[in-house]
Amino acid sequence: MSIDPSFNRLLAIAAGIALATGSLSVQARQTTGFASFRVFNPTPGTSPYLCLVEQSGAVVNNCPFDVTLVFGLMSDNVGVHSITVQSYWGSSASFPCTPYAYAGTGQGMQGNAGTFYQTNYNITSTSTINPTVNVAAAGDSIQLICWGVPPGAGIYTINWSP
Amino acid sequence: MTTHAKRTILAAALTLTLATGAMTADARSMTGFGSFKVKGTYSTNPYACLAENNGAVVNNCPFSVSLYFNLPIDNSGLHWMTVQSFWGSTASFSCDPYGVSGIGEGTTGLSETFFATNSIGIPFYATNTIYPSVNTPNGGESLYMICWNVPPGAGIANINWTS
Repeated sequence: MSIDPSFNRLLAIAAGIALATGSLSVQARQTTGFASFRVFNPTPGTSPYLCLVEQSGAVVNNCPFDVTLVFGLMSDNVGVHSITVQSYWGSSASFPCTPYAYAGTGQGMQGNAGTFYQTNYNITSTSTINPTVNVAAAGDSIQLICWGVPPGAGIYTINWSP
Repeated sequence: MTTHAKRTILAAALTLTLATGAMTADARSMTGFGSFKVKGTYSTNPYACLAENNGAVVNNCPFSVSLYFNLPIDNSGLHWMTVQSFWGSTASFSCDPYGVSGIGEGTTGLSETFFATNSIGIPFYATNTIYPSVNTPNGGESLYMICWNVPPGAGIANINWTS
């Protein structure tokens, strides 16, 4: 089959438009732990925001108690969202992170959690987990909750498909 | 290759482009809790009593708190928002969107108010929804929304906006 040059040009232009508008690009979004964290319902009388510190982008729990951290992950699309979470490299503590999808009406859809295990890695290197969550309807939103982050531990970066 | 074949292939390419989202309206979503910050200063730390409830940021403080929501955008033009209030309250408060260029001046968009009266006939555990909008005429401008004086017990559950 022979394809004339003018048709090749048309296809090249179409591909260029598709790339420029993002349809064929790799869909990934990334944030640091410190830029995106919130504290989940702190115990009355405690002020975790005063002892959660930044270190090269990581949010690190310098409090003398466990803190549960919430990370909002902006989403643009329905379907399954894959998440990659790196822990703070200065700790080998164990804690789980669970993604949720919410419609804003009081019911959350829990995704597949991941847990940082002490045995996964040595101190001074990050550990990675890969939770996933399904966004069932347009307009639903995603949060990742890292439960009971122990003193000295933290979250370095989060990468997800939007 | 015939003209008909070319048209067929181009139509398929366009369909693929549409299906992968390049020409759809870009909508973006975030929970209220995932995107809020406290606006203003208070004698008591509001962060100690702003709670998370299934994605919603809920004011459990004994005083009203103004909440700021950062809404990252990619494009200039008119941005539409859909804001759901916390389902556990029928309180009234207003939310204003702003488009800013970073030089100390901005555009206030169309403000919208959650009215307590909106909930008449609606079960208590139902969200109210408002639809603010704002224009960011130039590339590089930023978008945020402030919900002013959110009363105790009230909050924001979910925000959806065109990016």
